Amino acid sequence: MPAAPGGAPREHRSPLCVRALQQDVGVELSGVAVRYGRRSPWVLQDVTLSLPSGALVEVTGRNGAGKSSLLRVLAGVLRPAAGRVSGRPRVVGWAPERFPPAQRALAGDYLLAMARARGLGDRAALAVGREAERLGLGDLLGVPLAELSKGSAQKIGLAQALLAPPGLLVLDEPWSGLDAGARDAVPDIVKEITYQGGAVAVADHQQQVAALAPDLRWHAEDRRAVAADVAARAPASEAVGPRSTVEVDVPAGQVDDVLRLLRGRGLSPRTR
Amino acid sequence: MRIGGLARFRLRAAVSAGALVAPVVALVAVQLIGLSGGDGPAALQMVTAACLAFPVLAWAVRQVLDAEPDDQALLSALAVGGSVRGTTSGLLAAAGLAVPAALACVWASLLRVDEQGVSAADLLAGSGVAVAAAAAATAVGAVAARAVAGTGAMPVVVLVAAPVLVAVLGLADAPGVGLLVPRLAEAVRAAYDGRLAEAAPAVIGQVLLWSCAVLALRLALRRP
Repeated sequence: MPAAPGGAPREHRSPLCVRALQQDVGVELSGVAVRYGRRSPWVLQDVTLSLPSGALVEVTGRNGAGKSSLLRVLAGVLRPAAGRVSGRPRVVGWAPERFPPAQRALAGDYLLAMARARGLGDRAALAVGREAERLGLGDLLGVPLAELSKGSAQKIGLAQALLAPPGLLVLDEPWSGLDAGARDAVPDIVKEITYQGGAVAVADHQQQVAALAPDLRWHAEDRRAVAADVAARAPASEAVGPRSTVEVDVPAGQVDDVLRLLRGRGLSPRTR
Repeated sequence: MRIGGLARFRLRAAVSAGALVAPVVALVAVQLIGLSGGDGPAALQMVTAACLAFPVLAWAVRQVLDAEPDDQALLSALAVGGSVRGTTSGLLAAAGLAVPAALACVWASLLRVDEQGVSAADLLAGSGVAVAAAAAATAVGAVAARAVAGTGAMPVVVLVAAPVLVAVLGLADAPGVGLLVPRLAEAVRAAYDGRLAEAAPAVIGQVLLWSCAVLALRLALRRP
């Protein structure tokens, strides 16, 4: 069968993860509606979507279409005015579009406090050190949050979302403002989380997430957010990218499930 | 444990941001002015100090709660497992400021007591009233905070109206007044009549219950 379209398929996805995609309904949004005040216009209405564990979803839509609101509802930091969200994992990481740095606390102290707030206890310093190394935060830890540049603040915002391995990672424009080293780290972070069975939702105007071969695409438009055909944004990369064939050995009883799963992502699996 | 750690961080952050400088200056000034009338019975000095501290501490509580930017409050809530736990950590941080400050005011007022000194019963009652005043200040400050009262004139209205209502309605005998305001003024009247120790349990109980009810309503809003 052909590989996933796109230049860099997440080739290392574990069998466990594939099974999770088939069986675990993950996070479910049912009839979700969002507005910021009783007399405010609706931002989103009647949104019903599901995000399986281990899946990567790309959230698309023009500016103001409600992507960030959708991500906030998904992360659990915004209560929908109607509808409900179920199946949200216990540990959720959320990196907002703009990390708010307006505090005098040192970046290192802030991350340490967040790690402890996540219940890491004695492992808090270790977790901060790990993310500091991965995102190149070393020199920033001793700087007050209020004095960080936009890009540096974004790094802190990303790091705090990763201190405890999240079952759901929500990234709102994660590449925005990051330097080259941190930008390169984001795909590895996404791969790591999905490999571990966590779900990842990414809104990204720079379309870098497309290179990660997302499993799903949610498109926000006209107060609606719907599951769109993930292959629909693939043709460009598919045309120019290399193709390869992957053989998958699955139990006979799961063949139909796997075929359905792969066809749902625009692939053309064959059996023999 | 997780909530307590976050509360300590939030309180430290508010202090380092300078958010508490103005309330602390105001608290010292109010205490100095309010207790400058001369020596008096210890019980009256203590509850007067507690009542004078109440509105300033409510302001300080609001400062603590509002020191954190909205999105950071959301991140904190996410880290500790939800908006109720996040809000609780903020309220703990505020109470961690208000209770020691109220006790300090009450105990400092004993520097100006008359020659009769202070009895153990009055000291206990005065300290209890201080804790109750701090709880009421935490409740009022929580309502005046940005998450509930917004950023316009409403926070000021809440912070000004609360002590006025406490003074005006606090001594009224009409039924249901206890549901509307913390009856701190009743402690002043009891101290003036020389019966603070007997009246304190009822006053403290009412103020704590009122504060808990307001704080429960605040938590029920589920806004970080």
